[in-house]
Amino acid sequence: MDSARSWLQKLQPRDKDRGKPASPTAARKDGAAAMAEDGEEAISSTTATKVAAAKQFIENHYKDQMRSLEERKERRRMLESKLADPDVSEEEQNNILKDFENREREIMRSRRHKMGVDDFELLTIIGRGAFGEVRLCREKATSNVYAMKKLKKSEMLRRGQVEHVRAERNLLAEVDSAYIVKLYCSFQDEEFLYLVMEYLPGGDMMTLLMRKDTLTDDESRFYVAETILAIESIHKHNYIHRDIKPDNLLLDRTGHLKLSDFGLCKPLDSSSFPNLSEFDYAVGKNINPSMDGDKLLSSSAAPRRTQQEQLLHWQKNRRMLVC
Amino acid sequence: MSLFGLGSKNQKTFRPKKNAPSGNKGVQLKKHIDATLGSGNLRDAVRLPPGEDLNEWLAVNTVDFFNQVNILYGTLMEFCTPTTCPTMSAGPKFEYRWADGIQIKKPIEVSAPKYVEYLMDWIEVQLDDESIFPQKLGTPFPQNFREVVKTIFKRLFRVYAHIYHTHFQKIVSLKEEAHLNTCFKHFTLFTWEFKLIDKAELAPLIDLIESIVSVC
Repeated sequence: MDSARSWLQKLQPRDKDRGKPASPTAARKDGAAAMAEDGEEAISSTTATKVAAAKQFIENHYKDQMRSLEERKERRRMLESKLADPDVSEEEQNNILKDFENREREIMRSRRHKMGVDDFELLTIIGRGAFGEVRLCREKATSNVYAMKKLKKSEMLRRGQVEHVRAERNLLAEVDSAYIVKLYCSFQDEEFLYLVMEYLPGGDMMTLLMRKDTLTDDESRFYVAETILAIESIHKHNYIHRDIKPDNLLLDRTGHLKLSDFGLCKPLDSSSFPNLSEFDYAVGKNINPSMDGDKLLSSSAAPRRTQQEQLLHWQKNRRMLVC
Repeated sequence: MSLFGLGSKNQKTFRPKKNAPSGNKGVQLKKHIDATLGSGNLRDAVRLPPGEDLNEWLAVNTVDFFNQVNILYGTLMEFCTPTTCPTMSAGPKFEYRWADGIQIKKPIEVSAPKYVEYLMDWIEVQLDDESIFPQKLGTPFPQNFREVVKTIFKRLFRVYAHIYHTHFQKIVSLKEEAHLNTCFKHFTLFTWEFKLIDKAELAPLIDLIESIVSVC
């Protein structure tokens, strides 16, 4: 039985050597390997991402649980003070108590409620992509308006995009920043995956640039600053976006900028950064004037390269990093 | 009973081995169990709130514990493979076999990842079944709801037992032990409070459980 729970899990790339300890030098399909602290075995970036998401989920769960426990106690205290009122008849007390218990039962059931497409009223289509569409939708219970991204599973499988969607969903769930489009919830049915995100009515930067043609210095400074803050917030969570362009910079109703479309984003391990010290060495950044030439040669295993060669080497490394 | 795939009493899916070497795994694990998150008073958190319906409380917590086990085990999928874990075990003394009473009536020996997949899929079917875990207001819980919950908890415990016995070092190297311990402490206290797992089933982690129950 292919349950909804395991759909994303089961579609992971399964290396033939999955069960064996991975060699630290082995090239991996699922991203750069990060050494575990015990030094024995490398962990894939997929696992690193899962671990980060699991920790976040559990920490949030306990924060929420403690908060809801306190809220419940507070509701109980208010109930007891109502019941203690001498003017309230016994019949009224019973009604208040019954009402309270029904409300609490409703809260408990809502905590178990599994979000689905039926919980939303689908409105206009606001975008189309390779795997589906983005629709404006209204949550029936709250009347809040969201943008619902609907992705066709079979199409994603066919084009090998499962990892990209997983990365997008994980990042959106993990990063809580004013400069990143918020993910409200995600769910799936037999055919589609759904990402329900905040709706940003201000359009995108591309449209703004086309409409205004040229931005003033102040406007440019403002939008560049907010873009940098957005990129910084995902870098802090060890992800790279890899698709920064005006179309993916959205504006909210107050004109503030938010970064969207994390379909190409990638979890990043520090171990996969190119060896920049080689570049520093070639351009003479880390040469200590007091050192003599022999010592300098023996202290670095890096071959001597011209600046041009070094630049090409660094660019190649950079390309490998985003592949 | 088998309507919900609870299996019959005489089927042995839990197989303690009599001739297995007795290790001191429990003692080793007890040293690590203190690493937890600052998650408030868990003993207080498991108690049935005044005026709450017991079945509602069992239901909401069952879903939470399922999600926790699911996400914790998910982080180990790279290391818990048919090669590394050819049988579902909790140390050398205890082994588990899979039977759901419907599709697989006779207990079968499967690898740990396959066992966990069967187990989590089975639980999810129960959680999604409106006649067992009703979500619509006014729909009552079934008569044997507590029995279903007990079976779910028994099976979730087996995943914890496997993680602690086989993959705890990996959990430590992933810096996840505080998260695992917090979830397991909460799970244990809840199980203890509502007597959801028979004592014999708890044997693989009994040292750990007794230290949790007595200290908290």
